[in-house]
Amino acid sequence: MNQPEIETSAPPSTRSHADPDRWVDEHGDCLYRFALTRVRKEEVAEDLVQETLLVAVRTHEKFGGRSSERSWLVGILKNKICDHFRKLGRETNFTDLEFFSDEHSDKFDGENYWIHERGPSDWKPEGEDAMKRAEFWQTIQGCLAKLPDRVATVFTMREIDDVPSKEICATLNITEANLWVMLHRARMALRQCLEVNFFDGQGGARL
Amino acid sequence: MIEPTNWWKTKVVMFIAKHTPKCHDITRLISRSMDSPLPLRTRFAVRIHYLICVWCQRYRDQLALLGKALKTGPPPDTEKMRGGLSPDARTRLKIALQPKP
Repeated sequence: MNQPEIETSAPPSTRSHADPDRWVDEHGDCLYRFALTRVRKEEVAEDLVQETLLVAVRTHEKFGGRSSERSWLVGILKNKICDHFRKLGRETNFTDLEFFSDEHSDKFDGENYWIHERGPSDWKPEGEDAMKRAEFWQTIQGCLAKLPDRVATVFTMREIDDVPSKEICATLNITEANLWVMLHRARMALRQCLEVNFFDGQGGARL
Repeated sequence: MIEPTNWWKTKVVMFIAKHTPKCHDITRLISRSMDSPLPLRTRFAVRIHYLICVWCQRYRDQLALLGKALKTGPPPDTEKMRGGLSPDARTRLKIALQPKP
């Protein structure tokens, strides 16, 4: 495995040898960001990237270039993240119902109808236009960071990675009813955060 | 004095409000429907509620937008602005990955 200098310019077909240094340079940042979005702790994300590349070194011979190198590595990383969550689910109680237990009760009147001036406002710029703005994404990042860890994990698995509810419950060892409550509160909090920090600020991020 | 048409309108709105879930419950049901299909009756009741409630409509659309945005993810340029591995982390990784003699 002691390869001579990196052959970054070589076409993928000739890169059949393990080349962890090049993997770090070419895919390291992307893998790290992917992990960080999901596990939120820098040192954990770094460890997961390392474990991923160690697996890649061991198994690269089986990877016959069927997919791009990037998606092969991301695939390994996804499994590692899933293992990480499974372990957390065994070790800690993953249900976090303390979070926003009042469910924005200040927004509803005594009969549980929206208080009109506090209900969801009319978002401008609209959907697609908002998604073109870097501030929109920065606000989402900032809002995600404010969610408590366990809620964020559940929410990320469901909304970003589209993992089916039952699978999340099995991985984290929680009941479906608790999952729904956590997701509901996360969505409510994130919607609110995005409204206050992006849309009501006329599209200017004031996080 | 309320005009007759408005009087009827008010009556209909009141009727729907009374016979469909309250907004607070609707928000819970909207979220729930994003994870598993609602029973038919409930789905129907929520639909009817939208007819009289712009806030619940907005809530639904905004959660859908949020979900869509999170699934698509930011464009690559924006994503790169988040940075990546620190130089130290990069070095640590490379050392850890060196083949053992």
